[in-house]
Amino acid sequence: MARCGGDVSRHRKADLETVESLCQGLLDDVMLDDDKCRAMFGYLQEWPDLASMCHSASLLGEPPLAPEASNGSGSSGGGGGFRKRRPDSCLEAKGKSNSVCKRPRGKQQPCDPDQMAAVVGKGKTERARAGAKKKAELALPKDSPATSESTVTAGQKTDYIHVRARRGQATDSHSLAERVRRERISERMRYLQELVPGCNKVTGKAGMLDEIINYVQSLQKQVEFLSMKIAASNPVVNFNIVEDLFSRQLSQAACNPAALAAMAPPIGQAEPSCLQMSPLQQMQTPAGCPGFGLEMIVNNNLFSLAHGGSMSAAAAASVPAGASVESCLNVHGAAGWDIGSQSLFSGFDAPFQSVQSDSLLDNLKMEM
Amino acid sequence: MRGPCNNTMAFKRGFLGSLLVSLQSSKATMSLEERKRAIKSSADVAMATARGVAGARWPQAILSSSSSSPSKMQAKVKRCKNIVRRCCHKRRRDGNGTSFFARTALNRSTEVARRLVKKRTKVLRRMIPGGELLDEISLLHEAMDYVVHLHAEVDVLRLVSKALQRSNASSERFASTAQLKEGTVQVSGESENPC
Repeated sequence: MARCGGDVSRHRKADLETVESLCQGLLDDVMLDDDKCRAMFGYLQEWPDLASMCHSASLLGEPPLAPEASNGSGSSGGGGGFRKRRPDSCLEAKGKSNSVCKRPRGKQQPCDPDQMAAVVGKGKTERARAGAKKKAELALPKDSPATSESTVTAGQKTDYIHVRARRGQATDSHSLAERVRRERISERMRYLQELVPGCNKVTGKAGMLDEIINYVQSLQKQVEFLSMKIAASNPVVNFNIVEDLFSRQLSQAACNPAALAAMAPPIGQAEPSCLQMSPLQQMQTPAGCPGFGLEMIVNNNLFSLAHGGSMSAAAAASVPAGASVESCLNVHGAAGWDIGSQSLFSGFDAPFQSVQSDSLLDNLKMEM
Repeated sequence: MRGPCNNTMAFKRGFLGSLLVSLQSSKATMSLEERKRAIKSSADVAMATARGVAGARWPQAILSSSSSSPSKMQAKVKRCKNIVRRCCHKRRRDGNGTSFFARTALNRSTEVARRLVKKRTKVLRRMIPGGELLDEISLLHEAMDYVVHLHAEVDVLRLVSKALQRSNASSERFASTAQLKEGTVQVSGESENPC
């Protein structure tokens, strides 16, 4: 989704900037004792080493990452195509402020069985629960205060993903790539959580996948049902019926000659919006309904026109009914609609708006 | 939903336009089932075309599956899809390296969770058009995209059906009133004539 991707990248860039500023502040303000100081500067020194390691890792771990094309930033070429570290995890690290970072090479003493165990433990927890990353990180021995991602501020806007291996974690390329992949998956899951209604209460991949599946299924069933409804309410699947209806209503709606003249052009095109307006007009004459309903609809139209950005001349809500009808319809006619798109969407703009007008129409019908 | 509203609006507009065009060009005499299928397929195609091919794979999948192809081509396409699916599975299985962890897993629940996740991923793959060839990450991305546009499609279809219903109701009323009028005119004409 280009739009979402663009949003994500923008989000990321903004977050990167805040992380940078924050880290700058940290570097300036924090009282560094020896250990912390060494650790922090260790990262900055170690960054090029890590970068090279990542580079080699990239060549090995390329296949799992190759199909990803959804990042907003420029796509990488064949080998060594990584992207900036996700600042979501940056923010996580910031929030916790006890993220562990790799010690400088000289001080690091990885012992393999422990590492493997730690990896296993972490792998399990991370796979089972999306939010368990925090738990795993907290469980690890606290090493340094600053964010591990502070080295992003080293001004390297290269195309590499700089993956920080946590303490006690295996640093071979496979697990690094695995971790990147897992983080990406959890990031997408988080976005999906926002999208799918009712997903907030479920955590964990399995439950959320379940929710997503249910939602997609329900949407598809709704599409089927609605298409059945359309097919049933329409003996012939074409929209000439609307044109006939419209022309008849034109001949009958004699109250507003200006409206007639303006309505003539978009025949057969402005389907629901005009249907919203014309029954209301028709109801207006016999029932003597005040322009209230019409005003509502017209205001909706005007508002939606302004919203859609097609006409800047759309007035505010306080325009009197008659003049507003005329102006609205003139706007309709003058815009030279293509098939149904724009005028139709004057009614579609905000779903709740059209729903309001629908219910209004229904009420008026019932009054009649 | 977060993100600019204009994009959804543009999509809805495009979708409705293509929907109307495809509906207008459909045949006149069809049974209910055929009509429903026609509407559904035209809605899918309209959604795919309105979405464009940028940044997602499901529009292409929809368009390629809906474009009329003889049965031979369809069988070929299915076979190719099976082959690709098998290759993707094989590659994923090799690249994951989870068997080691499964063997040393102290926690049986994680195995269960993993199996559940796999099962559900499979189901999701089947539901999203073109999802069979994607890996997990892009699958989730596609699912996001697809959900958003499906939601917009449902909104548009709902409004269209409502409008049609209303137009039908009012047209019926018109028909009845028109008949009444004609009846009265005839009656008055007849009553005038002998005079």
